[in-house]
Amino acid sequence: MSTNLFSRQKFLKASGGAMMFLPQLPSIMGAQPKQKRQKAVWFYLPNGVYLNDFYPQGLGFTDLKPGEHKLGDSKTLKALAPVYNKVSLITNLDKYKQQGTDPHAQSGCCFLSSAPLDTIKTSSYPLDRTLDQKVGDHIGQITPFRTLEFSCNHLKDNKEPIFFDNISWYGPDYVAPSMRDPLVIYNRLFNAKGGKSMLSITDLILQDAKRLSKRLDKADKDKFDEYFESIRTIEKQVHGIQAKQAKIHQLNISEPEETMPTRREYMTLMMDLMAVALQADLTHVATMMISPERWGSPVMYEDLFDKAVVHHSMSHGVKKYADGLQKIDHFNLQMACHFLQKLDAIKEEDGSTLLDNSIVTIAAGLGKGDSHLMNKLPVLVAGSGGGKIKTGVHLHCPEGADLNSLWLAQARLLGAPLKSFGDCEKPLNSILKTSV
Amino acid sequence: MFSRFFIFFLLGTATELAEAKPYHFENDVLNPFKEYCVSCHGKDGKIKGDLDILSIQSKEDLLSDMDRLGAILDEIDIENMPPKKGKKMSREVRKELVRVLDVIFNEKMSIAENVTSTPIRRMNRFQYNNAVVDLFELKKDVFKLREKMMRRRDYEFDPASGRMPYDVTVTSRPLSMDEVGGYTEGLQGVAPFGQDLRAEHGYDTQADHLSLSPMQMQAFLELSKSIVQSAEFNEENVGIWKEFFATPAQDELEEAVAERVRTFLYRAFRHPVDRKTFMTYLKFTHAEIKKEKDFTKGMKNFAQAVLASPSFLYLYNEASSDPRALSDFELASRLSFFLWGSIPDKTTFDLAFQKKLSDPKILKDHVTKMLNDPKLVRFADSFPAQWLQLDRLVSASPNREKDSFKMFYRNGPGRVVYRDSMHMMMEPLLVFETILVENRSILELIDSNFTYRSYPLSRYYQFGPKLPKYIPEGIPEWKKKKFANRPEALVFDLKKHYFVRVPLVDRREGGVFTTAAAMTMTSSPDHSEPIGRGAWLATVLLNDPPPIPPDDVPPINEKDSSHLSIRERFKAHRENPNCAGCHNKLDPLGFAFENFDALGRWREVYPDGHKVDMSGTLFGKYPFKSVPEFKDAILKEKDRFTRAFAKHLLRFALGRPTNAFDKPSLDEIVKNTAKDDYKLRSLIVHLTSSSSFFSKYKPLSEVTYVD
Repeated sequence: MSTNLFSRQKFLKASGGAMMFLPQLPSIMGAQPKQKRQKAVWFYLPNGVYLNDFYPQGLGFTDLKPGEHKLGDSKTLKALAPVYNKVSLITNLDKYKQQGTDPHAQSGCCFLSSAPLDTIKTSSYPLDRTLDQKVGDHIGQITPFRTLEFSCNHLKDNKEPIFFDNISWYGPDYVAPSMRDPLVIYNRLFNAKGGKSMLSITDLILQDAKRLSKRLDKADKDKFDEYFESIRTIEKQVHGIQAKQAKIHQLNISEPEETMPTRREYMTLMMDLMAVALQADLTHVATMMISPERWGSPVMYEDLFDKAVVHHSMSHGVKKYADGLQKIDHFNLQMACHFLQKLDAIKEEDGSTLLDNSIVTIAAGLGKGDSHLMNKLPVLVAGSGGGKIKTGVHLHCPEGADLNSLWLAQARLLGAPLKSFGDCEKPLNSILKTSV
Repeated sequence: MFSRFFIFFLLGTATELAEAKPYHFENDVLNPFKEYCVSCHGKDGKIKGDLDILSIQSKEDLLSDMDRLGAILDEIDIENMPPKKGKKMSREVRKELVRVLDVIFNEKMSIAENVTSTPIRRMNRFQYNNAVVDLFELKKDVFKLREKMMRRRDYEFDPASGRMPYDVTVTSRPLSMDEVGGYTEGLQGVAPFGQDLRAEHGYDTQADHLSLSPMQMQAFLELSKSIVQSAEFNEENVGIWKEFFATPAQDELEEAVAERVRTFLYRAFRHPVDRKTFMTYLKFTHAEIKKEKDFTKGMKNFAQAVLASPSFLYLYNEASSDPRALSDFELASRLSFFLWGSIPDKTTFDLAFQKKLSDPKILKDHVTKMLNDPKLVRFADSFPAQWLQLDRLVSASPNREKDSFKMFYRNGPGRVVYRDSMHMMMEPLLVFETILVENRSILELIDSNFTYRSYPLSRYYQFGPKLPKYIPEGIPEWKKKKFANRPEALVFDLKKHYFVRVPLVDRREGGVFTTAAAMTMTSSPDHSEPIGRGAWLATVLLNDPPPIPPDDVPPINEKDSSHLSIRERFKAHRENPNCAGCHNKLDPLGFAFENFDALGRWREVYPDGHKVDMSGTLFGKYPFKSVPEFKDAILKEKDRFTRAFAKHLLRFALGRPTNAFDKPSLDEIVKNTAKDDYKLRSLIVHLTSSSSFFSKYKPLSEVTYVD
């Protein structure tokens, strides 16, 4: 009854097309110089930021000349103080927008999208396999999880469609859902119990799936490939987590308690879980949705405001809510900073830290929340990818610079030899020490 | 040069042919377009609403985009276009143009490729729960489902009775203190699967939202295991225990296992299984029984595998060389997932097996029976709440610091704050349920002479009957003693809400659209939001959601115009030609309910002293100055509402947005529902026999397959 592993991989390779990669097993790679671990993480800031307090002081947006400046300080960026020497700021990048869809939804779901505009016919969004997934295709094959998706949207109401709430996508209409419940994360990532017995039926249901697939038309068959891909991924994950048990045990992670903590406690816990998952090499690639786009539900920030606030509504009253908007931006960056400090505390043999070797991007998909424009985006990059990215600089890009150029540069730095990203073929070399 | 001077004839049935009049494309279509439309839609680079009518020069052009044609046809038919300001279109010209466009539209409808198919999709979590419950005949849900917003505490949903109880005790699952005191729903030890999101302007049945990621697959694998291994998955709770899990006599074992596996697969996969599939599962089951050395455990392993199998998890239609042939089994699943949110039952399977289900008369009778089945509760638990977007009420938090909003809040045990939205949420659901159970007219959703109220809820209404303060039954004596000094605490029970059916005389109340629930969830924490309400009404009531707002919305200057009322401020906003297009449509809808404040309470003046001005003109032709007049205006266009409602239902049923090709079906549904006095169940019966419901288009294509 058991299916031959080799033939199944052959099948998966054929059915999944370009998505499938065989694991790069170290044993068959031969003896190579030991590579330093490198992580790629993208943080998403929702509803834009309050720019006046975000930009370094004295550098008004309009009179700033394109080019490289020394990174100054600002009221909001102070949140990153403990790691500020390992950070760069990039301003004036645009994500090109396709007309006809909600700007909040598009800025969120298409933030990391690799689709050139007007190329996706099945959806109104220019939405295709996202940067994290593409990078994961290349560097995620040797970890139990090719990528991990996190979100700090704890709201239980069903207010907005998936496009507002997800930055990671396997492909058009194929969301990579994110983990948001600490207990679920703990059980999925660190708890290997029961994993193996779960796999006892996969051979059987895969046979069933093959027969079902034969009865479908072309379009359905393409979508149904998700089933095979899912089973294969789970098999890999279960084996991978088992192999990492000793390491996970060492890190001494305790099961999160089922309480209703404050927003700060909750987000800190989420940051810790993400950091540990990276530290234990369960994955090299992660995304973190700090909060969803729009989503008009009031959220309590216990130590910032005395009542629940709606970030999206505030972003449409910039004058009235300037103070509150700045507070939320500052709070979000503080949380990111907590994560960055965790990575910075992990020392490698040569004295560098995991943060030094990694690339962590913190950015918003809308410039100003109230303008609904996906341009003049504020982008922070922490870590230098092992000395390859400039730190301590403020790069102000010339008008019309494409966010995809940064994504292309990052993808290549991370070992994904992409020719282009979206329709952008020129990487943003000006932020790099050496062009890619 | 291609000539456009063809004369086309309508193809159709004999009677239609007799009525059909030929048309002349240039005279009957292009000329009116030129005269009334192109000055805004094409001429001199003006392309309002992204519609370039000047680019339509031939019938091929017109037919090249059927959604566009459908939209043009609709706008002219409902007299939205040409606008009042432009050249007036006479009734005769309008009628003839609509007729000809309709004929042209229908010419293309006979082509099979026009059938829109729903892509393959996995069950959503609600359907998964129901399917598992029905498959095992479980006595309880698999896990708690927050999406089932109303918990019926002292009555059973009974559509066959044709009568809703006079008084009911209910709770709001997401908002009440529903689970305190050791009461939990779901099987012990089964962790819930994440809730599936509702699509924008749509439902959680929509195919493009129902993909399967590795994370979700893992959850399904774990679920299937935890269900059959739950301590509560036992003889007491599992209805098919005896016939499925109980050990058969040793000499009948072989036969019994085969029979059980076959029956179970048939029901789980919703069609008879082929021999190969059957043999695979049979061999697996025997191996598991042997391995476990325990019959029941072996059968549980088999059941677990079936629950994780794609043939169970996915809803799909087989490819077929005959693109329109929805098989009887596919029809059976379509019906049962629409009305019962679950797999078909034995009767439905039998009709499908005998190939009788697709017979129009048998189908009609059977759907009528399905509508009388208690399983219709799944429809009542999913469609109305999603249609009305009641999930928005879950997060509605009026500003607690406003004195006038304090009545909305109530402290519960453990310093948890509860909100009266728990009562509000129940009212529209109970009204909908009454219309469904009593097979009343859908027009009562707009205007009804009854509703259900609890005492706490009745405090938000001014015109309905005053209810006495009611202390729910079943409150223990010690508690009554404890609260002797504060009986209020008992009246505002956070666990059970007692609702009574009350008659309504004043038409400012009644129906679902003017409920406190609707008004509260469409307001901001501080005040009513007329534009948000307008957008909600346009989507829910008229199924005509506004386009997305432009990128750069000019802000309303709150400071400089404080001497103006909100209405006047929006008027200034509307005079901006960039805003006028949508706001001319949205504002009359949104402002119509300005007499209801952010908690749905009646008011004549705003807190700042400005008088409320709710008057407007609906559809450009029905002026109204009061809420009843607004309701009358909608009721004058009852077929328009019926079509909008039918479109919602069709989208829910088929898991995809409707499009131009659904027009003939919708025409039929509306026509036939009108004949049946707009009764809800009639509408559903007509919908299930419409061609949109009956079609699939899954042509066989070249298949490359590596095994």
